[in-house]
Amino acid sequence: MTRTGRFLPLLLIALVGTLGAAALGASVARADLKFDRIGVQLREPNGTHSRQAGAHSDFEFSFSYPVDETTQHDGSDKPGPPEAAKDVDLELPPGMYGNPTPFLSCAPIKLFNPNTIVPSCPIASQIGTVDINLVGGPGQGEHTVALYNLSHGPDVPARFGFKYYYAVVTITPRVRPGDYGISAGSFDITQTLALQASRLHLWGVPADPSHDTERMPFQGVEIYPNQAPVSTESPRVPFFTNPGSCPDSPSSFTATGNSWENPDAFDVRLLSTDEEGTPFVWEGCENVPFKPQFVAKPGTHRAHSPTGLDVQLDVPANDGPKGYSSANVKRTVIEFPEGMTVSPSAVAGLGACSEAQVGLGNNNPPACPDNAKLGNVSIDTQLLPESLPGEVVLASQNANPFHSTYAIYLLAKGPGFYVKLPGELNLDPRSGQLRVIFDDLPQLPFENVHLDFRGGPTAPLVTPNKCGDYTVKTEVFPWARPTEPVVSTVPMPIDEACEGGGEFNPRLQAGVDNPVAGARSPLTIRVTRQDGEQNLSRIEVTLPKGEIANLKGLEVCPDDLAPSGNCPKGSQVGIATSAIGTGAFPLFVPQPGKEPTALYLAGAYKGAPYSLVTKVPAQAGPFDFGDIVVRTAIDLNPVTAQVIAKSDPLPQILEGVPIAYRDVRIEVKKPDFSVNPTSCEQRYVTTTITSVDGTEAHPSVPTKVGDCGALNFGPKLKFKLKGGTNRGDFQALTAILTTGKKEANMSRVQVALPHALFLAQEHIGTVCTRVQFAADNCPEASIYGKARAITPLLDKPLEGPVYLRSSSNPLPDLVADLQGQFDIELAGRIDSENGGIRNTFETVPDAPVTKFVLKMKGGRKSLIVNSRNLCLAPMRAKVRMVGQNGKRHKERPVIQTGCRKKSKKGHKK
Amino acid sequence: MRRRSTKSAAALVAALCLLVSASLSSAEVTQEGNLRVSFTGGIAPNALPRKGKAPVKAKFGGEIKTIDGQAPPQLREISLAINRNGKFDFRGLPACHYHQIHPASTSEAIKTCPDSVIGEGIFSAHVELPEQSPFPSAGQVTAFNGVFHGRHVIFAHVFGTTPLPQSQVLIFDLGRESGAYRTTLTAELPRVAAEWGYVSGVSLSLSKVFRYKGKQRSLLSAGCPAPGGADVAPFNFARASFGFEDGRTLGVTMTRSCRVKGRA
Repeated sequence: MTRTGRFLPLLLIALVGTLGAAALGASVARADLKFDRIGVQLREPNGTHSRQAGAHSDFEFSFSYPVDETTQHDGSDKPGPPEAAKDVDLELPPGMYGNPTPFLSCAPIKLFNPNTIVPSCPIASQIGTVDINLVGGPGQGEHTVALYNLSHGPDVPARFGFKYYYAVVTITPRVRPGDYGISAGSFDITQTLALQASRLHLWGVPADPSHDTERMPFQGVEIYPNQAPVSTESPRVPFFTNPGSCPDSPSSFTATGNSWENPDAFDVRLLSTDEEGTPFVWEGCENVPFKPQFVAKPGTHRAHSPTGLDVQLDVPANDGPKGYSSANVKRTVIEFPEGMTVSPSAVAGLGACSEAQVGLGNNNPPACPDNAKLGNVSIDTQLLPESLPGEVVLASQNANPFHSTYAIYLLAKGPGFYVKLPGELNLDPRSGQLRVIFDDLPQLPFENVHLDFRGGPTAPLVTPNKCGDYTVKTEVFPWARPTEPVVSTVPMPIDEACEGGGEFNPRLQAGVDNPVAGARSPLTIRVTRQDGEQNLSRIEVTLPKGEIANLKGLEVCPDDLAPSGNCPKGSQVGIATSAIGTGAFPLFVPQPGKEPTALYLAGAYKGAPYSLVTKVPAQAGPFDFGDIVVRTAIDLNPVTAQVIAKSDPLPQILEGVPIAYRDVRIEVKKPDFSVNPTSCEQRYVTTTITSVDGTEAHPSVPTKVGDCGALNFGPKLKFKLKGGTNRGDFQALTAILTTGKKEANMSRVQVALPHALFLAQEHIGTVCTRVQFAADNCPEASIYGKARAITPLLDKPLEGPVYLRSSSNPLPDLVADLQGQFDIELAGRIDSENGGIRNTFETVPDAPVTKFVLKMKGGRKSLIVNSRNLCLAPMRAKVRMVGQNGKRHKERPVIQTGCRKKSKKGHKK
Repeated sequence: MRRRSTKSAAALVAALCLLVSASLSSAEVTQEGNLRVSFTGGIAPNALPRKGKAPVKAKFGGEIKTIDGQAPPQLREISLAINRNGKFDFRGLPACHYHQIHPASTSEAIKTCPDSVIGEGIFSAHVELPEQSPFPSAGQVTAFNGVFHGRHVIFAHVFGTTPLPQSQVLIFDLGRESGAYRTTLTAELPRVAAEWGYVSGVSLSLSKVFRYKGKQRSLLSAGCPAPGGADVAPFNFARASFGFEDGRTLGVTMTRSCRVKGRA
């Protein structure tokens, strides 16, 4: 049909209405219009009332307006119609429908047939009859005419019409938004006929021979009682169908009407019984057939891959003239196999559709953003000749009919109406298993619903990690028997790319931006994981010796704020970036336009003196899951001063979406925070990375800084004895180490005391065992001195007791237990060299110390005793020091004693 | 030069010890519970005049063990009583004072009191600190004629550099008794390394030939009291005992024999 041809009938109908409206002004107005009589009837072909669910009964709708016997319409003595129907509309209960598709349609122009009062519609297009009662005007009295199935434009699902004399009345069905029930109405009914009453008959099976005597004869104007039967070539299939559900309460029709005389006064009637008073309570639902078939095909059968999905639900129609229509689908639950989950990669750039944009409950076109689209939907229904195309779109988080995190809408466009079906996506919070639930679906038949979720790297789903014979379980509930689902299990084998599911080989990258010895430089640590391998669970990183942090004057996130990650800006030391998801395009967080991530320095945590708070706003696409806060305990190896960072378990699933970490990157970039080693030897960043299955991997990367030669090394070490100077006197020894600027840090220091100083073994009270030391429970008697270290990297000096502690060396070690912002233990090996006491600190942390003071006790706790008079000759210690940069420095400092200096004249001062 | 002298002296001491051990290597072993002590000692030469006395060197020693491998208790007292046929003669020997030789290395101590040296020996101990591998501590013993708080004593100066330079002085009080054993030597020992050490062995040989008022004298002299017609005579050389920290005291009487020098 040409565009002109399609619109011409509408033009004619509109013209009819307009003419009627022009005559309206001459009528007498009433303010209290009421239907005089109105009713609905459903009958079996044998005339009995029909309440069988899904049955194809004959439908009748009748109404009449009151006649005022005292009013003369045209001045004659006949009573005239004070009211003429203008608009009459009837809402059918949900589930009741007529199906015009199988039947021949009549072009409106043939019905109008302007040159004659005879409609020229084909007999096979007749779907019922209309009894009309005309009062006044031409054709006054009762008449029966044929009701035809009319061809129509794309904006309405169907159109019916009848003609008497020159007047045409059309009835236009529509699909109501919300309950998707069918309504049909005639609007702006012509006044040419002055329609006072009408009874509309829609046939359950139009081709049934019982209607042969009710068909309009060829070239007939109206249908007369007892006329000759007229056969039809129409297919013997149902036209009208009762609802397919059997609720306890009666269904109801709603009829609305007004008149030309009172266009604003509508009479609205709720009809829950037929004209004989029998309620519309449907029965026999157990007899309604229902054999749905479900098919689900992933876009790929490869393991651990993003995948689209092709889902089809077929409900075969029952088109036979006898029996009942197939039940309509009320509820569908699709349960995907465990391991098949929502893909985070899908949400990058994804939008969502709000309830206002969808417009549930109205018939406005959905105004969802284009980027909310997840796939396509196509609905085939026997009621319409063509499929209803549409889209699957993502619903806004929480702002959806389920107030759920995840929901989708199926949006399809029909002729004159929109199908807008919300579906809830239920993700198991622990496994991520996906269930899709559509409930309270329209009570309208469909033969096929086809959902096609997009595939590719950003597909919305991910196949399981391991190959296997997976299945999709579906439960399809019919309106006829809402508690009796048809359960089916559909195989969904995953049998490609099976290798790699159990491996765990994370990779590590680490380094500083400015690899110069002793420099302050940003530090980056990056852990990546291959797609398909076991997921990351914990990350423990040990930085190389000397790669330390400058904490002096640094703001620390308060303890009460750290758990939430709402730390002050001043405590931020870096940022975190992560990529999660499966496939070629994982989701990077943070995404452009979203809140930035942050890495904060916080206080003590899980026994470590400091911690890092990684705050990652879980915002991606249209989703906002708040902040993910991961704490990482920051400790120091007390011997090497290596930084050890132990993360808490990484979140594995968030709001039901598994977090498959692909890339975790930490950038410590606060200026002057990260300090390089002063050793240029190759060192390593080592890790212990644990998978979700408990597998450990230990990737490490070498790091090396350069330009160590530019650093000086010349610390000064002074010694002082406090005590008597005679043989047998005990000494309190003080050693003071000072360093200069731009010096390499100390690596090793060895001090040999002169022979004149013996071990006072009688003062060895006890030693601290390593077990006691580790438990910070050394006996008081094992303390023989104290030490203090001042570093430019900390706010306060480190200081603590000096113990004799058990060791693997022949003798106990002399250990300075330095405590403060971090704990450092500086262990010196004690032995003898050429008969003198020697102490060697073999492992000095690669950390800057401007001053170190060691004070050994004197008196009864002294470990040193004079073996001769100290004043006889100056004593010198032998000091050998090695810098972290390899430079060596030797000294023979004089040990200060209590001896008075001799004057130039030889007298003691 | 000094180093060579020291080495020569050490070699001489070792040779003498070996000689004494070879000539009088018999040992008396006594045991109480798990504690076993082997006492050694004797005199040299053992060919002595039947009448009168001749200069001799005497060695006393003890080795301490347990039979079950446990650490022995600390040795706290050494007691020695010498047969009346042996005679000490300190006349004319200069006496050294405690503070002169302690703390000091052996060479420093000898340098301080060279004429008071009357013997030498060795001292060994084990130190077993908690969680620490046991390590030996050995030292050289030098005996000095001394005075301590006005008492005539023998100082046993112990010096070792293993593991660290340290010195210790054992003070042997000299006493006299009546009966078969006239001269007694008794020393109380300090604890070794607080509670963590134990003495495993000690030996001391005493001898000194010196001149006093123009006559040659010997620190120790002895005769062989063999009955007429016999060239060899057994005799109770000494009575020795070790007292331990746990209260146990293990002692023996060392029986040796002498041979009459010259014609009977």
